[in-house]
Amino acid sequence: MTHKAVVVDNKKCNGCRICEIFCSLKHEGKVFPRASRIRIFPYFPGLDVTVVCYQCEIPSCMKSCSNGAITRNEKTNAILIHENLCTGCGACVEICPAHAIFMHPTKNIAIKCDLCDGDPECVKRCPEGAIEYRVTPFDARKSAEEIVKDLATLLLTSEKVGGK
Amino acid sequence: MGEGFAGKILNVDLSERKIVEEPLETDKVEEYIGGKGFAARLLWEKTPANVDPLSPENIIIFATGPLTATLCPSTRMCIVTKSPLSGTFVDSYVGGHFGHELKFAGYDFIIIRGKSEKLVYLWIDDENVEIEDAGWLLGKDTFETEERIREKHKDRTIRVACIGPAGEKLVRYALVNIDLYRQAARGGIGAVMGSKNLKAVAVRGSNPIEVKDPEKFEQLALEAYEAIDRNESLYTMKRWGTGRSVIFSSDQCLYPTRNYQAETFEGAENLSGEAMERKLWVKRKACFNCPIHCGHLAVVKSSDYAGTIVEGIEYETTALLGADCGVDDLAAVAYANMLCDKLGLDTLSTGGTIAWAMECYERGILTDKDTDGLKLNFGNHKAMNETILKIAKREGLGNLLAEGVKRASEKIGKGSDKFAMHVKGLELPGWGIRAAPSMGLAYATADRGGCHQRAWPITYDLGSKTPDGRYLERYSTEGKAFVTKHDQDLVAALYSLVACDFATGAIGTGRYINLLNAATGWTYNMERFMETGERIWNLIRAFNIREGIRKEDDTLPPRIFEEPLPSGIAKGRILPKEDFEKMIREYYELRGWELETGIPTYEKLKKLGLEDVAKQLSH
Repeated sequence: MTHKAVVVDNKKCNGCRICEIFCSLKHEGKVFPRASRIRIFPYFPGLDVTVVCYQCEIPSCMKSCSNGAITRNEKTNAILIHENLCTGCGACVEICPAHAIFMHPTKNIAIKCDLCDGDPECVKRCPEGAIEYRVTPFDARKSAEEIVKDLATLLLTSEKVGGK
Repeated sequence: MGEGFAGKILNVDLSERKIVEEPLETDKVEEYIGGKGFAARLLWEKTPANVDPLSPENIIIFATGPLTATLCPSTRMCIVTKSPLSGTFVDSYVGGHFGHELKFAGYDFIIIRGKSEKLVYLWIDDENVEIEDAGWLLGKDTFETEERIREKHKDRTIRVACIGPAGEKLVRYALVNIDLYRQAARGGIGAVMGSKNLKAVAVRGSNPIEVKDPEKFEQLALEAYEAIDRNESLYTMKRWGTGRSVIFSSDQCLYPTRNYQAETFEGAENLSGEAMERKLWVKRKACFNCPIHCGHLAVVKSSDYAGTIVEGIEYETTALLGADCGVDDLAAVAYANMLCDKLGLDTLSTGGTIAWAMECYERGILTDKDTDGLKLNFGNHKAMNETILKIAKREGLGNLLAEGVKRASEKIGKGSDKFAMHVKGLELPGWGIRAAPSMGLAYATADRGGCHQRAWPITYDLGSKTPDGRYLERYSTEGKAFVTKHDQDLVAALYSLVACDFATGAIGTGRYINLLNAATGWTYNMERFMETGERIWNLIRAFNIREGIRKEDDTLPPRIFEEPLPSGIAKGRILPKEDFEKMIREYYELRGWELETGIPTYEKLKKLGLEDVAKQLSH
């Protein structure tokens, strides 16, 4: 089985956070990056990693929720957190292998990518076309640290380390 | 708050270890817009006359504007203080993500005064603000400082503004480093932080920024994105960064070479954006909410400098640490750039100072004894990079050079002041004067000393239409005072928003004014915007006058008046002293400043709503 999710090419991400800005504008009506459902993390020496939900096939977040607040949308396959059922316990935030669920900074709820009901705002707004909404296999993903390591090997390797 | 501002000022007294919040009185901000303008007002009010820039009584202001951290793309912040290099007001701009995070934490301005007993950093976590020990960061470079603070607070998204070893050692052109590769670089604000024993300010903010009329604002901001996207000039900026200008500049005799002895460089192609694209760049980099992504991450993959990783090289750095030092080895300049960022040194002043030292060395004014055996000839990039390390440590010759070219040339004498390339102590940037005379006026009258970012009249020298619809003769002085004044007033207002230079052309002043009004509910129009810029410019002039600046300081290095360009399309050109003086006279007349002294007249200040300033100044 395949499904569509938000997929980021981190080589193309330059860290402008326009995705965070428009995500928060769509979901919160404000420029509010710490309430964004997609997040960019800066890493030394100048790499950026975008973290967003993979919409796992077997979502550990769903299992971790003792209140049944997390369900899968049949149409988009998006895993959704129902605000009215969420108690803000943070279990899903803890267990997410991609660290792609966040606590809302002011409301006591967890937030995550809902695929904007099949029309993700971040995909439309990324000026570099680094974010796609496309079919992706349900498989195990890498952590941000592993992505950075791969990126560094790919982009930053030089003949010898030093230059003093 | 809901009107473009976060709504609070954070006052920090490091001597008393006191932190006090106060509400931002937006009606007071309105006359100065924010950013540069309001920070200038704060500096005027909150420092005593003739304050020693490196004393506890000086203040340092982190200033954002009403558009910073809003949906408006490409905004920045500035850091304002009295400069230990020029003795003037200094405002140093920086993108990255720090200013935006500061507003998300709830603060539009931070005002820091006093001096901590021990090295500390300021930790702002929304409304929880602490002065934390930084003894463990003593001597650490800027990259490591940023990383260590993030590790300590276990959050990669914290934003850090910090100084490196050069700031701790009070190098007069030490900078404040942000997001690894973004610098509030000019005028020695890093030394002011160092003098306060303040290693860093770290911030995490989790509030939204709201505006008065969200619907209108969103529509205008979307237009601004569209304008940036469609701008042809920004295509070259996206692709080659500021390095796009290198070859053009050298061809036009504007590229300072070997301490401004020439302005066309035979090695320019090696330092161009095109060369960087081929040899160095692996990806681009962006500031918060900016679709331009003008930054480029450079990796030196081979040569003695292999392993160098830095964002850049910006045009100005290629000019000062490249051509001006006679260096055309791109990897060597990338390495020098990385050293300066890590150590916390302004690449412009560092390059300008070393270029001056190289000329002294070639003329026998500095000898092997002074340089500890370093062959400090033009083009010797190994010696250049050794010297950068010495400056940051204030070691040997580095201790002299850490003072900047003005003080260093005064100290060693022997005619070296004739080729000390500075205005008011701030080393000149990377745009020549003899082939663009209006830049001479712009540098001589810039508020923070030799700076190209307060007005860019070179564009009119080279054929752009003036704001009053005319075309000017390149080498004539005619009309140059008007365009310089016009651009200074406009930029002062734009820098109060705080807008970024690279976006302003695409977004346009009219749209910025509409954005400002939609954010704040104010009723600015073009006339009021320009008048506010003029008010800000005059307030800063009054500050500089209070601190001792006079007409005789509004001048240029003798080389510009006396030594003809040796090569290139402007070969043989000088800026004749009488031409310069004519421009200055016209400029003062247009400004309403006294011709003999350069002091703003009482009437002029009064007319601009600065009567209280005029009164204090005439005391």
